[in-house]
Amino acid sequence: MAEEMSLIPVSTRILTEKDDIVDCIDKYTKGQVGPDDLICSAESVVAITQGRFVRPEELKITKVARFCCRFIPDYGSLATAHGMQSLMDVEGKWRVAFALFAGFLGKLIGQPGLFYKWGGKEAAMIDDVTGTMPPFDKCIVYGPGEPDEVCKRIQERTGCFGAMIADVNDLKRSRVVGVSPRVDGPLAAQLLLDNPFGNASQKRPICIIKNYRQYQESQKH
Amino acid sequence: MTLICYIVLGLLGLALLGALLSWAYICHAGNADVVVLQDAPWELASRDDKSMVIKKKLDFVNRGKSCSVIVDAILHSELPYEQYDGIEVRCKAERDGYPREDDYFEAVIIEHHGKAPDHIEVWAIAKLTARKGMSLEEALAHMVDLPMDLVWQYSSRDPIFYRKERLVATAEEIAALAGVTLVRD
Repeated sequence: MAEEMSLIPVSTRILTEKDDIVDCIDKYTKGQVGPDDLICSAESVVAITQGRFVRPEELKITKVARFCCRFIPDYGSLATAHGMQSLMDVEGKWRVAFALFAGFLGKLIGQPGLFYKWGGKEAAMIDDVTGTMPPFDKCIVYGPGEPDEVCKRIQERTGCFGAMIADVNDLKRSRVVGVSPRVDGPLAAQLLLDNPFGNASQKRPICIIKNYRQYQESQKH
Repeated sequence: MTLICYIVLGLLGLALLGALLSWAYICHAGNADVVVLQDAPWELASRDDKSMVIKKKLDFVNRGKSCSVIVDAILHSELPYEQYDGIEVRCKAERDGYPREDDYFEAVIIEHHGKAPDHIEVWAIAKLTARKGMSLEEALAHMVDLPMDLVWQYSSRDPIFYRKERLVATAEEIAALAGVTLVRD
């Protein structure tokens, strides 16, 4: 009889830029992971361990960033001057400004999403201040670097079926950021809609989906 | 030549129109406007033989059209020992409903005016401890006004910046909370 799929959130201490995410996942999931399981990790924690965050005070805010942030709805991570500047620093000031203008024109003709398409991959990945748990709540956190490669390393190290880095929140949004070969990312992301990583103040950046391989195969039939 | 002039004028007109529309949109969208209301009185939180804790509720209100983030809030004493060395003062700012023993202030979003929560409440907390072998009553009998500075970091459409508010617990307020009669030196 096939084993049932289940989600096991894994608690850790606060991970920082001094940690290696693969080492940490290996340590905290030891003895819990089998060859049919999928290991999921929260994208912000992977980014933090890669040192991909910045304090807003460290940014030099340009007039272009101050201007452009005004056109983002105020709940967005790019709605603040430093949030917008952090994007411009990695994707290019004029590229972001052009994408914003194109996004505006796109909306006028019923084509939304052009800003996030042309503004660089970080446009949809940046978490502004308050987006992450303390002590990184006072930082802007970028998306993780080389997420597919990180997933591949996690899979090889732990011997599990696969690994995935996901951007999940309490608003029933779950997005694949990186995934190892063989894993159907969008299918796995649906299993994380209830946000097993918990809210910002809970130290559960890892989730094991037990018997995911069988689940994925059953969905194909 | 005339055609070129028309094209240039047309482009200039479009640029001007774009600038005007942008300006109108920015004005309409607005910015955050956070103020700290200090209307609440000082209260006695706890007391023992050597020390007392007083606190006052501060209301951070966003009156603007855009949400903002209170990134940090720090409260510290502005009473130097040159003025009065009978009391040691240690202060902290703590969000109402989120007590923390580590004094860490977690960054928090305040929504724009009219959308909950468009304000947050923060406790200004001061612990007063008697020094120089005095009892609390002896030390407070000679107390002077206790000024404190609340430094808070604030983020919105503008670059992140700090603001400073002056809070004062008067000698009379402190003495009344402690049940002590002030001695005028």
